[in-house]
Amino acid sequence: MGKVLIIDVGKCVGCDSCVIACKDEFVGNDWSPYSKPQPEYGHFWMRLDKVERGSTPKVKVTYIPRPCMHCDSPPCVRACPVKAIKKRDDGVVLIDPTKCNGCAGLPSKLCIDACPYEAIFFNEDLQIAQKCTLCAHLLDNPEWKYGPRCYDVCPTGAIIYGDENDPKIKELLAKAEVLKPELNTKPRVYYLNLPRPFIAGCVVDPEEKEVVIGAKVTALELNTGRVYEVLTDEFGDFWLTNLKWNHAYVVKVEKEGYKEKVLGVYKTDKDINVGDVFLEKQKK
Amino acid sequence: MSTALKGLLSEGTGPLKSVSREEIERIKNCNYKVRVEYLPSTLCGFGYSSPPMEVHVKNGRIIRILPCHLPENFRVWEIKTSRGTFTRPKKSVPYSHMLAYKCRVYAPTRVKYPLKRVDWSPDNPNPQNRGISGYVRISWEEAIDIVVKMIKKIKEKYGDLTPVLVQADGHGQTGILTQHYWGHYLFDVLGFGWTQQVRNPDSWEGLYWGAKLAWGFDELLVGECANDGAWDNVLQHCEMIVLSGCDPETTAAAFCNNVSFLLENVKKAGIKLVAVAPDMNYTAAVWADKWIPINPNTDAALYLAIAYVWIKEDLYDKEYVQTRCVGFEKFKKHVLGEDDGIPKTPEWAEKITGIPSWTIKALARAWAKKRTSLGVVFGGPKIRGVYSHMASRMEVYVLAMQGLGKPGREYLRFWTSSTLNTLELAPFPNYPEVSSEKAGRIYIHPTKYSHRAMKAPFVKVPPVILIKTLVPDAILNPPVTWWCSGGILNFCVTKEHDMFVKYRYPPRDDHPGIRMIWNENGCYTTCWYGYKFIEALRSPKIEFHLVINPWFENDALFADLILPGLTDFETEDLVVSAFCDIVGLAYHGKCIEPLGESKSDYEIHKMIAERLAKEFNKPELLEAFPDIDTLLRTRIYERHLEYARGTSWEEFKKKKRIVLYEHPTWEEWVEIKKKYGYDAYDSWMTRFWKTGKGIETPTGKIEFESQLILKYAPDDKERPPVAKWVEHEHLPTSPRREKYPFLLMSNHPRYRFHSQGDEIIWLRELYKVKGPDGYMYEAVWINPVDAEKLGVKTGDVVMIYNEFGAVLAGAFVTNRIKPGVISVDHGARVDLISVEDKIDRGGAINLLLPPPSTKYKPGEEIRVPEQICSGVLVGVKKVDVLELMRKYPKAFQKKMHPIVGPVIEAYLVS
Repeated sequence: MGKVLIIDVGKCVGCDSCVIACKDEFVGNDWSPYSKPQPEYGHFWMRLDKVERGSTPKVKVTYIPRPCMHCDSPPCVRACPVKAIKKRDDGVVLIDPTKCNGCAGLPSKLCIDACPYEAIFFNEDLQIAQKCTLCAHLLDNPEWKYGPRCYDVCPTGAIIYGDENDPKIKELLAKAEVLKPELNTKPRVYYLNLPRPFIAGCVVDPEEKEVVIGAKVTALELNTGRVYEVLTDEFGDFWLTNLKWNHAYVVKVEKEGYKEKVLGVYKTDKDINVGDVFLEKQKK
Repeated sequence: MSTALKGLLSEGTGPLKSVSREEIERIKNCNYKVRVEYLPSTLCGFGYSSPPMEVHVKNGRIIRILPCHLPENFRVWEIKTSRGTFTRPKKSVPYSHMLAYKCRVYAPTRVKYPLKRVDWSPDNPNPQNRGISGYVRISWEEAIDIVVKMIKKIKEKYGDLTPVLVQADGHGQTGILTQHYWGHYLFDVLGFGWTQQVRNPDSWEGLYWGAKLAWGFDELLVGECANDGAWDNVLQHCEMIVLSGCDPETTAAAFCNNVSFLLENVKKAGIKLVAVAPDMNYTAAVWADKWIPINPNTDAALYLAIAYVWIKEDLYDKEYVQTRCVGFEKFKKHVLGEDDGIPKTPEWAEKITGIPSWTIKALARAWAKKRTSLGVVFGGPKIRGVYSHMASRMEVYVLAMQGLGKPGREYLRFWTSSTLNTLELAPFPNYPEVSSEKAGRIYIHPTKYSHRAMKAPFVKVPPVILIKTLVPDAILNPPVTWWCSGGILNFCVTKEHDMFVKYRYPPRDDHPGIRMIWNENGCYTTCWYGYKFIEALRSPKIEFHLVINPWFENDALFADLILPGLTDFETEDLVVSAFCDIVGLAYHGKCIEPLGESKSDYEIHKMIAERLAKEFNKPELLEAFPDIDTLLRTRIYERHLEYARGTSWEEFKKKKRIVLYEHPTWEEWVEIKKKYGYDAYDSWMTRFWKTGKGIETPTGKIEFESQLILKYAPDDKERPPVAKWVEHEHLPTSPRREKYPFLLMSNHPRYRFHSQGDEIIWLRELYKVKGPDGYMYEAVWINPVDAEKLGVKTGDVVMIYNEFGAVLAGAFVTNRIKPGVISVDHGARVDLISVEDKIDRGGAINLLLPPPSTKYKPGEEIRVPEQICSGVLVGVKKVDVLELMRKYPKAFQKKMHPIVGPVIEAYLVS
């Protein structure tokens, strides 16, 4: 059996409950042998990345909860000079607080440097490295029914916890992805609905001072030839969504009675608000 | 026992579902050996909690705080529609400041002992040193002596106790024993008169002063129309919701626990969400399909332009305005500019609102074409500013123009309270016996009824009234005269007619005015218009300023004596879950011993009452303040649900520590609605639309032209009979903008509850901006366009200023705020760099806000004593903190916690 977290970014409302519940469980509470108390401030064993996308007024905010990934190929385990970090059979990666010596005498904290997810923190008072334990001290207790604290407190079900062999979880895993897959650390924390870039704008007839409804907006993906298409809504807005990161798109606006307008080539290294697009009437 | 309740019980389908303490402990905690207690889950105050949070305690320490888990078989509401079935989760997650409450309990700002200002004495109060001199620890005996001595002194010197201003009913902790209330009770029972600071409608200013005049609804708390059954109509029929400045993920959640499921349901129903607000707030950020940035408090112009489009393009419901409303023709004339020569075109509105005219037209047409509701919930930049009552009335007008109450057309409150904005039935399926005062025995409204009932036998001398917004004027420039008692008098919203009653303070010319302040909330300085309040608190007229608070913050900096309150965790108490869709009651024991010598508000007032009983030979004081167990049993418990069920208090305390009521099935709900004259998807407003009945304005119709204004103040320029466009100095078009170019918006805080919780380390870490001096500054949102002009980047410290003074904040450059607007949440802890120079480092933005009296000439009668808490023009500039540090070295050397800022020791002297 292997424990996994599946985080549906599309359901996260950014309430910070997971961050707070995590601190509530670990700050000042000694769960030895699993973990020593987390310091009063400065550690985020569960961190919530707040990603602001686009520009005024075409803005979206995506929140990404980021605990330890409990990798199956954990760089931290390999990096630890005193073998204080263990991978359990159920997939949980734990730092033994009694074995960890804080890389005493070494120029840097090796596990912290090794972790590509910035999930490990250093406790200056105790001189040990610390991180998310997936609340293993609770999970190991048969009487505890609520799973990890972040999962329990999530009001929208954005954080899903379970066993990878559970059919329901399997179904979700089939659609899920991981952060930084190219590093091949095999995280046990999966994500659904991670943000894909958008190109958005508003189509306007400047002469009439009216938005243009039902204009066809297309984005041609240059290297694949794939075309994304939307019609402007009742506010003249278009949102070309679920594009690919770091691709180039030629964006064009067409509407009967107006001259076709090619907006240019946009590279999706970020989300793009093209602003107001003014269409010129076709001369009769 | 009412027949209705009996029926429900005997059928076995009843709403009662209780989970015993034993059961819960057996299930969860065998190995943990933790003690489980149920604590209030909000900072609403008034005893108004939501489903209690589950607290685990061990060896005198708080181990963890969990959300409220409902049992698997607990039945929650369902709304069955042609679009699917909608429901709520079986878990109720408190707001983040409640989950982080450990940080409050053990905060480095806790007041653990009675503290006296070092240079205050009854004969030599040194008022000029309030805010400057430090504090020394004294004993409880000495502290109570001082309080009793000062009460006696005021009485002897001035004849009665009306010179004592008691402020004790704002938001606070939600326990019965820890809420702000007991000062009112004490002085009522004492019987020598007092001055009641009447709470104004601080989160729904505009609605209270405006919307009520258009649609009545006097009985409802917020001046909004009834929401009985409203969600049925919306989820079945609605196609678009305009979120009018509201942020339920922040404001509703702080009262009702998390309400994301409301938004989830809206999206599931396929309803388009359009957010109209200066900021892309926390709800809009994740839920809205469209954000329309608007200048703060210019919504009246938007509504006028929308009405203009509808009139010009014939897109409104003529039958509705003719048969269900009065005075529409006069409003139409104003819209078209026939009265003032200004047609309220979208182009006209663009200059004021900052919204492109094409977007205004598009919104107007979409609103008319799609079945559209308006989404609201407390706060929001549109109802908390100069003349925001005008926008609020116009909001009613535009809703009426599209047939309010027709399918999918509601004025929808985005929260889950089943009681406060309804008259007969809850907004979500619930048993009337549970949710409604009129129908039920179970209905729990701890403050409104219990307290009134418990005071009744004692009160002989009614208090003198002073509206909160005019307190500084009443101290500094008496007399003040105004209309309206204030808003929330004795826990009830005053009737509409009260808006036209004149009051004055002091009550007579030979009255000494305010001489003593009894301050339980302690947030004058950060929640009102602080610099003016500070001036008043430092006035020599004030002989004694008493603050009762668990934390050293805000007004405590200007106190003469501070009595240490405690947190809900340090006392036994009842938890009344009444501010949400799941109603119930819980009892909790003491989680931990009180910190230091702190005591509950009730115990503090009881100690004072016992001494006063002797001094004034008033045994009724002893009767009025029984021991805690008797108080909770006789004044709360036996007046409410368990009494009706016949469960004894002892049994409830021992076995049934938490009782929550299940909801009816959809089919039961439809039957209940039928009995009240509603079809399945009807709301209160639908019934009004269908029958013309249910509105209590003088005409029984929605009044474009207010008959009450016509009757009492037909020539009122500030509040004319028909709401209209009024220019004022805080508009983006005002000449004031040359000097003060930014519109400041201030919303209900995301990471606090008004002023409560600014000391919570774990939340401060998440949003405060660390300045170059290491101080955690309150964040100010600045658009990148403005940031470039100002030469600031995220992390810089800026000074926000106007004629009242200056406040420092940490720049957070973001696209989530409209250009030309800056946003600072209200309620940050005051940390003055200089009392004389009026510079604050804590980011208490309300220090800068103007009192309502600034709109009037000295001595003039104040007709609308509104609170202006947002939408004012200010200046912004980058500052060099290190230079300020050199200029004011002492202020920067205070004893600090790296995250929390000044700790209590910073204010103590040996």
